[in-house]
Amino acid sequence: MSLKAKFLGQLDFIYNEESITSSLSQKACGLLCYLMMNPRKTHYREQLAEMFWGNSRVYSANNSLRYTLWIIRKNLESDGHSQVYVTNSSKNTIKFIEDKLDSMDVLQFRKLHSRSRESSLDSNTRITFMEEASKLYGGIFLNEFYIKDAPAFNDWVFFEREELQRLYFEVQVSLSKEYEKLGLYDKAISPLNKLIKIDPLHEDIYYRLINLYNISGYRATAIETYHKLKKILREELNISPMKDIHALYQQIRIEKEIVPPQEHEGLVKSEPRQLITLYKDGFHMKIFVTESTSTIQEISTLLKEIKLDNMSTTAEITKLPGKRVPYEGLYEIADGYLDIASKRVECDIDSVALEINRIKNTYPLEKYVLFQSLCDAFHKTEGMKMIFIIYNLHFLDDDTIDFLSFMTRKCGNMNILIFAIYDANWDNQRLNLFKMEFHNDEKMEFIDI
Amino acid sequence: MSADLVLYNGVIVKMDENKSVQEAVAVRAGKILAVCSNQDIKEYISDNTEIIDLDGKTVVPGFIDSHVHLMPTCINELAINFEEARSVDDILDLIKERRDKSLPQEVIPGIRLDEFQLDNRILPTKNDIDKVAPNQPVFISSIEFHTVTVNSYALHKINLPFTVNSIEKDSKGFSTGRIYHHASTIARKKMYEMISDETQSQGLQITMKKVIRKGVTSLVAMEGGTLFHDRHAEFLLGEKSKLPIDIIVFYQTTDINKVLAYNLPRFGGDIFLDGSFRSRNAALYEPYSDSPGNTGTMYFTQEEIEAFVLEAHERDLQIAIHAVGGRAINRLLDAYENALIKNPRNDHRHRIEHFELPTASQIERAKRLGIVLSMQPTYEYFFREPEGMYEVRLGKERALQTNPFRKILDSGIVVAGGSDSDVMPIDPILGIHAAVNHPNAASRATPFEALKMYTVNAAIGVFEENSKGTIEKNKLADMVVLDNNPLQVRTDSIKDIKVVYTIKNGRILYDAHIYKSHKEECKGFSAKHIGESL
Repeated sequence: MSLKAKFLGQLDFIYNEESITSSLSQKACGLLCYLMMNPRKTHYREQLAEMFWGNSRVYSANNSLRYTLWIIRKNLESDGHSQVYVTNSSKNTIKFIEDKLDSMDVLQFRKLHSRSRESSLDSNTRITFMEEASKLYGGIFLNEFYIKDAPAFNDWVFFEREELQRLYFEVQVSLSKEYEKLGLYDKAISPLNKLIKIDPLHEDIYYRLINLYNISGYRATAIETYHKLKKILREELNISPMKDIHALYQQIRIEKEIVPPQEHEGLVKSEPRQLITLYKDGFHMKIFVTESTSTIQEISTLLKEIKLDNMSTTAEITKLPGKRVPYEGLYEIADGYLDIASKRVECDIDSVALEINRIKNTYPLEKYVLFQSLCDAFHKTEGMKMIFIIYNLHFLDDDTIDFLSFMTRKCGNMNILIFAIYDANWDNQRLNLFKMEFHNDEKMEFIDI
Repeated sequence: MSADLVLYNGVIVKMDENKSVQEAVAVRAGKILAVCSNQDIKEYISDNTEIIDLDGKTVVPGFIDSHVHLMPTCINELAINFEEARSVDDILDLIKERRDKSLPQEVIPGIRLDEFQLDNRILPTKNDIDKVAPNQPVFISSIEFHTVTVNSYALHKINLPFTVNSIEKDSKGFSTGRIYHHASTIARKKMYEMISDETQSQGLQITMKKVIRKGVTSLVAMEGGTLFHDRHAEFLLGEKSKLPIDIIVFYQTTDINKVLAYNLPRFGGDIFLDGSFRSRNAALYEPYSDSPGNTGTMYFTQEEIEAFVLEAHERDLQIAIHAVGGRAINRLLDAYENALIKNPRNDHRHRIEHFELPTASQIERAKRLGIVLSMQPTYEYFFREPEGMYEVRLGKERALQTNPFRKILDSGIVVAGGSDSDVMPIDPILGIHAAVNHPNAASRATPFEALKMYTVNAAIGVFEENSKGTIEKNKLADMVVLDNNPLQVRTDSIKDIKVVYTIKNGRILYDAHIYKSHKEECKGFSAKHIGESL
């Protein structure tokens, strides 16, 4: 026979491995929870009656308390034998027998929190305690639980709720710091993200988070997180991020190259970054060929940084996976070009839009005419720098790969930079041919990683 | 050609360039068919024409209120107004009264609670409110919006994280229900989320009736944003086509994608670059007279406001931003100028909302940059009494310089008139009165100029002058019949002018004769027209 109680998140009482919560009234749940949370305390019946039935007459309130206690005891019977969880320590007092309690998440959470703060602990043990405490916190204390005519009880719930949330914040921040000390930056990020979900306007947590993203090599995510904070603060409170965060952001923007700490392994190596940042002016195409998922991820992240640094000149193609149907990739390039042109003051956007629209609606399709028309459209904005990032080159349809080949001949004098990721696992035949054709072309760069 | 409606024997103030006046006007298919003499109007009358003898009354273009927070106004219609409360008992009585009329669990919003008006100058606590409303969420906003007082149930529902820090505690560490600063903004937003669409619609219907009675045929609604909620903008954008008058929405967001998603041609609204004099956070050059050292608050850095303005400007959007004090006005003018230098554009009609305390050189700059000013003359009516808000906050000398209409109008700037409801009532006639009777004689507008603010200029302020703002052939038949001529009555009695008819697209939405005969507010409205629209 065992009694377990879950108060962090949705309230639940489990007796002999079965939930008995639905068999208890709301006040019975509240009362049992209150007694369990204060196990060492002897409670005066009068006070409990006042707390839960304060709006009733004294006689009636006492009766209600008596009945509710009977219901609680009844539910804690097993094979007709009552387990004495709630005792009458005297005629007027009640006490919850702590020893009988099998487990209660709040109690365990507090113990783990307290143990994690012991100064004699080594980092790993401290982390273990905090990780366990984190797992126990399933949400705010008595989530959604409210007894409408019991203000004193609700006050107590608000108080406990805040206290436990405060401990949870403490645990998460400490856990993040411990991971950071060990150079486990990826792990240090997760606790902070949990806190941002609870308070999306907490600038101190954002500061730590942005800093961690940056030092762990996720510069683009650090910048994105700053922008996310900036937006939410503006929308919700009409304020700017605090000076420290802004300064950190400025520093991250300036520092193109972040060297990750020595002890940290598995993070972005400097090589792909250098490969990306080294490029020539004029028409140039850089294709990263790899079979490694993590490398693709790394390069994608770095390319997103390029996008962030060149918002008005960059278009992202094939952001979503999936094999493209004939000409689909070409139309994505056309739309990307239109997007760039729309951000450029010097462009006559109306005429570009008209032209792109005409190209997209041309039927029947004459491949040469179509390719030439799109290159002509590009020439309308000659001199304008354009960057196309193709995240999934391997998914492009054959016609679009032909167009890339066409472009190298027709737009060779333009300032167009194309970054592309080719996941060699997909073995795109047309792309392999393309690679063979252009592997010696100075405008093309195939980088096997 | 036969007209649907003819108004004759009146004074038709066309509000055209020549300030011309006629005797009669004919309407067909929602538009003005002719504006002419009593003699000439006859040719437009057939058996199917509804004819109204104006008996010398005045017709002006339908009023356009250029700055309204419509959804908060509507919600306030349903909220408890605590303006008259003088004790916690008064407050609880009002809540109890509302509780008895409301549905179970319905949100009870309250507004305009001023602790300084209460006998012991102490706001109620959640425990006080729990005594009369334990089972439904109660939210009471203080008059200056800095504090929200809630009951226990509301506190439970909004579930603020402890990290927001501004929830007051008593000596035992229990919450009092009083929520301050940023947390009050979050609490208010949570309240707006809890108010149902049905309740919003109900408030909207009441507000529509009220504004139509004031002669309003178009409203420029500033919706969403920090003080309010984005769902207001989205709700209104969905509902506006069903309403009897035109609603032009400024979505108050700094997120341009939200605006583009609705294909709106305008961006911003009452986005706070600074605050207000009442809250002592409008950005001034010299400190407030009643707050030494405090020159107000600027909510955007120069860099931020420039980036925000430039992005919208380059997207060809019209921009509106709130700037009250001189420092804020200057920062905004800099941002507009920066955008116009980088991307010159004629006829952008970017707006400054309020422009309450500009310098002479800022007026010149605004003119040079082609800025439209959206101003609220009724501030001068309500804030300017001796020892009034303007004088207390700014001191006598500086208070004389607020809302300098004369200088602004002489410089040739287009000034669009608005109410700033829910801060001020929607009442264009009172607005005209306030501009003409500015307490500082050197700042007064003429009656014609003031009338222009709520008609022609307001239409220009939202690029609608081709269809609205004047009574001319082919324009929308949006008109107001007044019992007296604002251009001819004694200037100090303009506010006493009454609306007799409100006509929108040629349809009579309000007829004071019916209203008076029934002595009930709702009976004054044409049930057919309102019913069809709402």
